[in-house]
Amino acid sequence: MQSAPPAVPTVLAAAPLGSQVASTLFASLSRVIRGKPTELRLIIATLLSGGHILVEDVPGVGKTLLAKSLAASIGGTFRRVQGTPDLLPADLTGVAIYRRSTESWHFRPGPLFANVVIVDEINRATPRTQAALLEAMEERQVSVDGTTHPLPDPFFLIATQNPFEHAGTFPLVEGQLDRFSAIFEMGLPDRETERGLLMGDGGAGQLSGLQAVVSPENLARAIQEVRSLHCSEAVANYILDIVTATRHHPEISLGASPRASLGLLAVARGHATTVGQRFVTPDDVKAVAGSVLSHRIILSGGTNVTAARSIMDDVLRSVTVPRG
Amino acid sequence: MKLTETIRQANLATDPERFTAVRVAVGITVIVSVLALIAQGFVRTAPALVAIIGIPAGFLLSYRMRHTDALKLKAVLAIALIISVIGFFGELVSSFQDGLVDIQVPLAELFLWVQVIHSLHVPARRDLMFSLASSAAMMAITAALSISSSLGIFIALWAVGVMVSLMLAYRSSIADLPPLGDPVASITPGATKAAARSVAILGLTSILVFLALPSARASRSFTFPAELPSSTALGSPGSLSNPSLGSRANRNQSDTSNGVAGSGYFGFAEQLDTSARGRPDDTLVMRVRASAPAFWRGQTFDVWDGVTWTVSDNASTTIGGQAPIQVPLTIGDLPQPADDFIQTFYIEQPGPNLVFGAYRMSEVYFDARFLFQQPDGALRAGSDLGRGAVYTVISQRPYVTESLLKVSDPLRTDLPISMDPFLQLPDGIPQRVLDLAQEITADSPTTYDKIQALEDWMAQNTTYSLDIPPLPDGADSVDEYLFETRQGFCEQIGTSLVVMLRSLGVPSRLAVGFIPGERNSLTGLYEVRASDAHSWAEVYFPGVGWQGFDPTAQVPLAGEFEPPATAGSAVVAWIRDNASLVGRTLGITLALVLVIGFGGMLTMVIGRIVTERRRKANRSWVERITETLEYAGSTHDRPRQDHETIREYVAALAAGPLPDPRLREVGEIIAREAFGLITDHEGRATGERLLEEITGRSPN
Repeated sequence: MQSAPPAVPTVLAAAPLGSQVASTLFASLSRVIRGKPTELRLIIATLLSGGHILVEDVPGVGKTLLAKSLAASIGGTFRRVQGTPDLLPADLTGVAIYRRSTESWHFRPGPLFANVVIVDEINRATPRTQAALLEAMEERQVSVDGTTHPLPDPFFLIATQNPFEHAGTFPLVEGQLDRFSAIFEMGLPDRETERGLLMGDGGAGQLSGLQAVVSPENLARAIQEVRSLHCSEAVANYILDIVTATRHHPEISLGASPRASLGLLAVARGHATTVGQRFVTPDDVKAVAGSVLSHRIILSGGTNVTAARSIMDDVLRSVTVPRG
Repeated sequence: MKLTETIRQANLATDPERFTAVRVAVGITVIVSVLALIAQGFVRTAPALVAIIGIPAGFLLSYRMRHTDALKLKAVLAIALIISVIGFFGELVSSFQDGLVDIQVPLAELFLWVQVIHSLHVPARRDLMFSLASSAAMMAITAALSISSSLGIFIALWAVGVMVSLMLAYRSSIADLPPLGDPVASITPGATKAAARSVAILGLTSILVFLALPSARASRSFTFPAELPSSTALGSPGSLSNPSLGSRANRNQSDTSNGVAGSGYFGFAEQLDTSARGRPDDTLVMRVRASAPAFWRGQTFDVWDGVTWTVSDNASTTIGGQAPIQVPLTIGDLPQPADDFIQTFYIEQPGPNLVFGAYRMSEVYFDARFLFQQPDGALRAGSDLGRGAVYTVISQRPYVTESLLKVSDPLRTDLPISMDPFLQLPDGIPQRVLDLAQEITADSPTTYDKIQALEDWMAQNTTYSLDIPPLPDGADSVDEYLFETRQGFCEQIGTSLVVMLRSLGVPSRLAVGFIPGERNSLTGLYEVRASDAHSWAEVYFPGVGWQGFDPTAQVPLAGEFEPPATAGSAVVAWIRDNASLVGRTLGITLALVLVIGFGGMLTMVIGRIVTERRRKANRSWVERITETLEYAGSTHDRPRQDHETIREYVAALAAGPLPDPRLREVGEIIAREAFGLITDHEGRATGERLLEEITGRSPN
């Protein structure tokens, strides 16, 4: 029931910063990631809401490529971590080292101290390491030996995981999944796009050509701007209706939390920005609700993101949109 | 769930019916049921015309207005319903005051009005299904009232209509079926089997129910049908008239010149000439609704001269003045404790002005204040009984059995002197007739046995024939039949039985009327044809009264009777004695309930109109333009669904029924005005202009 989103309006000079950032990033990412405009728009919306992303899919569909292109398009620092069972929290946060030369403890920051962080196969890390990571995502700071070190601004984390591998994995606990603003499945490209990849159109080959099109400062400013985007009472009620519906749906044992509704509004604001609006419409809420909520509800039949998506579609069909 | 909530839920607007075929099929089915009712002739011309024109027009109007709320129309319909109910009770009350209640016509008309009124507002599937259900009620009423088998055709047509409507409705509600007209895929073998099974089960159930249903039984309602569509008063009160016998000159005597008089029977006259030949044809003269077959008795003759029967005393008495008309006992009648035996007569052909009925009539429901009673108990109407005349007779059939008749023997009691006329014989009666009677009955101990013996003898030694030679001049009819031709029909046979019984000293007379006729198993009515006209012997039994005997017709003689019911008969009697009071109380209660119900409906509708007006007055620009857009969409059969945002909706419209790219612009303007911060008057004007250009509707 999803209609095609309206084409991205050409951003005029007078357009708000957020929309400029969005369209610039969209153009840049599209050079590498082909045939996925809707997903790209959602990813940029999440980015503009200041949220983190979990990409879930089988290997080889471009999860890492997406994360890398995003990092490349944003100027600023970029780090990548591979989730393994022997990865320790300190490997991420960094450690305090005693320097003989200065006879003092010196903090050596870990890979988390970057504007864009990729954590590949997050479910291979131990729950303890996952917990440390998720704390950092939520608090945007790490504490090492009693000292608090703020993470850079903007701080944007993309985690990937393969849901179909179980051996040697530690599935993320639902409460921790809640820290991710949105979850995406890349999905397979269509035949046309895949032929393009074979013929050198898009894909990893284009990655090296990507420029940093957005400065971290501008991105941080855009995030601030999006945070205060106008949202009418009707749309806020619509969000509440959707969240309430997840709490009463017969096939959902645990509905979305208040954090989820805040996240839904934030990403909807991001989405409104990507389509060049200065206000949130029910369309924005509808467009992002599946990605923002499906990993935050617990089904009666156990967790399964695909099933959760179809139930979210069902929820959206059952909720009346505000007139207008 | 609270009642009010239930009512509110039931009245929620549903999506209009999108499948025109369903609408058409239901409409046709409803019209068939209406035509069935009209064809049975229970509705006056004006309402019938209104219905025939109004229902198709109503369906068309509903189709046109299916997307609107039609609140004002609903209010009008509620008022119309109240008016029709009040009219119905008005008619009922006025006919109560006339002392005659015929509830059928007003009830049928009320049903018709309800159908017409309802058909004016059937926007949704739910309403159409209600129409279909009420057409079933209509068919049931029609079937209950009907007296002709032509209803069968209507029932068949209606059943087809219902099946087609339901199948179309079912098909249209299953979206993934192939469209109609795809012969290969449209009906799967499984579906055929299932349909066949349903039809078989339904047919079997119907047959079983039909077989198990008690046959048409006139029960004691408050009143009975009685109607005289046209009444031409006769010249002299109490005289006998029989237009079916041809010209006025021949009315009072049998016509012997050509023998046959169409549907007329020469016995329904002042005299019966046994030299007359020729019998009436098979014209249907009347239908009788009764629970058992019986002789429909018209009148009797007591004076015999060897050829012709006449009546000794022709002075009639006026009876009546109240409804129902009470019939006094006449000579030989005895008050008997007996169940009511109810017969309603529907006259199909103009006939004699005799009021027919099983012996012994005790009450008559007749559409006239008075009837005329002959000394023998025969009843005559004061006017001709033409086609369409209806009257109801309640008889008290003596509860007699063979043993009872054997015990109460007229030959072993002192007969009253009033019985002398029924022993009269003509002077010149041939001796051999008297001897034969003695001979046949010599070994019979009781009168009842003697009658049986005479009947048996005639059955064995004479031939029943309608085609007998004319009576020679100066011959005695009975003698000619018993000894010369040994051929005769009911006049000869019945007369011979009476004459022989009289010769033995048994008081008897000749009765004329009709045999019961054939029972139509579809309508449950006896269909009496002119050829069913008949004459038979009536014998007086002391303590019983008159008892009919007949060697030819296979009529179960009175006496095959269930014993009178005890339970309920007291209640029934009370209700009968207080019919008007009970009826009025029930009527007023029902009227109040209905008026309160419809009044409540009206109040609800008016309340909704008021709130709707208020809402419309306070609408924002966004609400106004959105409603206009949604209305335009629903008239193109693409109503907006609750979960559709305005952008999704305009995209769907642009992709389907309203392929205009500017619609998206309208959607953007509405979204901006609805959820944005700033009011853009110029944008609003643009939106309104575009919407009007696309849909031809300006936001109101």
